[in-house]
Amino acid sequence: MSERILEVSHVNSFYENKSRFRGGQRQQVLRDVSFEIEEGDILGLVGESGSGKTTLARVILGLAKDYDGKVIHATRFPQMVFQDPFSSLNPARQVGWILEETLRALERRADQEIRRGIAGKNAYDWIPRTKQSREETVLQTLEAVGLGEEYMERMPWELSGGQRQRVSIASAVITRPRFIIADEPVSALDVTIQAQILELLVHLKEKYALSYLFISHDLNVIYQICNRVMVMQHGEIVEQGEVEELYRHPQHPYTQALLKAAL
Amino acid sequence: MKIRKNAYFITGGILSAILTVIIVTGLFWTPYSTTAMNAQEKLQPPSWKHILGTDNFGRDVFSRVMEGAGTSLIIALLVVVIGCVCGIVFGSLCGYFGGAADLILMRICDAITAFPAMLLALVIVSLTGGGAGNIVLALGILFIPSFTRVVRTEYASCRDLNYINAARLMGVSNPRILYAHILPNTLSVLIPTITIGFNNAILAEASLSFLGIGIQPPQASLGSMLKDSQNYLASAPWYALGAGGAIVLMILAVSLLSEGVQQGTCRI
Repeated sequence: MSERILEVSHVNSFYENKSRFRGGQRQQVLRDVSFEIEEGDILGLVGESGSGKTTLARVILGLAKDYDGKVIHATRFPQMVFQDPFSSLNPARQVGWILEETLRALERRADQEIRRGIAGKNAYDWIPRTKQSREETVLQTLEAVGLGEEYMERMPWELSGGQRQRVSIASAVITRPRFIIADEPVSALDVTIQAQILELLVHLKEKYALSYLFISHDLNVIYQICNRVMVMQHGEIVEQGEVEELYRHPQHPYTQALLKAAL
Repeated sequence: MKIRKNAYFITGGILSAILTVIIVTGLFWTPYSTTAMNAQEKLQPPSWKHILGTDNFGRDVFSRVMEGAGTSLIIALLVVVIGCVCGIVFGSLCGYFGGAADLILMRICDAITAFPAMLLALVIVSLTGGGAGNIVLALGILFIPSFTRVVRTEYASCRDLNYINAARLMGVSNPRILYAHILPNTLSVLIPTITIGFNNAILAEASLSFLGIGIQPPQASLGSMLKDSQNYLASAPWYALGAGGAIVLMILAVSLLSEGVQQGTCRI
């Protein structure tokens, strides 16, 4: 049996509607969400806007703090690829700097873990610790996502949407993660570029033995790359299962409606 | 930062370079002594001997402009450095972290800006007594709120963007997020603010000296030269033009340079 990468059990999350005059209103966003991701899975998460998909991602990554329930990671440093390729790269920095900064931050966290005894002394020996070796790693990673050496000195605003998304993906895989959350990674791209990025994600999964939580509102995209899928409505997971099975025999009325709309 | 060449940048750069050379030279050497009086040569019009003429005490106007511009420049630079550094520190902390400290600091800024700046500077300088050090301190403190406000707004708008979320997720430390990730993004707003601040500082220093509470004679200052020259406006206009022209040129050079930097780095 393959290893379990992520276990989410009975997560409820809340969002504070901040209002200076009427006091905060605490709204529940996620309701009793439970699921697991096993090694090698590409788990699709589908649902309409506002159903809590991104909130779930933020809870898993620890960016949203107001939740109860359990989130258990088997791997350290999960990475995220964001939806909007135009805001996910620092506009004032070159691509090379952005990727090197990821390595510098990783180095700092790895050192912390080693000091606290969470990780073994040699667990992070692969992390490049000199300027030159960092640059080499960045070059290799850029190549792995299909970008050449010349992109090192590009500014984010000189890149197209697809190229930016490739850089975002590079900045995720450069940390050698085993689990990546992709939050609508292709929604902002046009169809031909979408196909290229999906292909890249599948290729990287094979190359680096990754698992994904793949968030999308597009059932066709989910069908193309996921092996399992969850359907979310109003913060609840209404149905989950193997992609083939779920697409052929949807049980929940919301899933049926979604599939009908996609055809 | 790569800067594409443009007309503003080139003119501003050349003008700034010339002025810098003249002013820096003036710190060490002037054609004539700036304080030696000469009764025979008072109020001489411009000539090859005195290119900007002489003042009512027979002192060489050009030499005094060199010295006065140097004083103004140093004071303005220090004022902007104080305002800018404190503004970046306060503004970044307020904008990024928000909360009660933000609320209190911003209300203090409001309180400072509620008074006319020149009035406040007058009060501070006359309470502490004149002198370059006190002017720098008084103007520096008065310049902090405007920088703080600008920097704070930029930080508040960057705080929740994905690339900052991503940096947090990677475990980048807060100081590094503040000064390596967000600060470069504020430059497009910070550079014009620095320019305007610099120009205001030159004018403020000149105004204080013009009112007689800034730089004390016999040390030359563009403001006090303007004050002395107003009695001779009709008979010796070169005296006022020399000092006033220096102020105009300094402000023009910096403004052109800043405009050039902005145009040269703006995104297509």
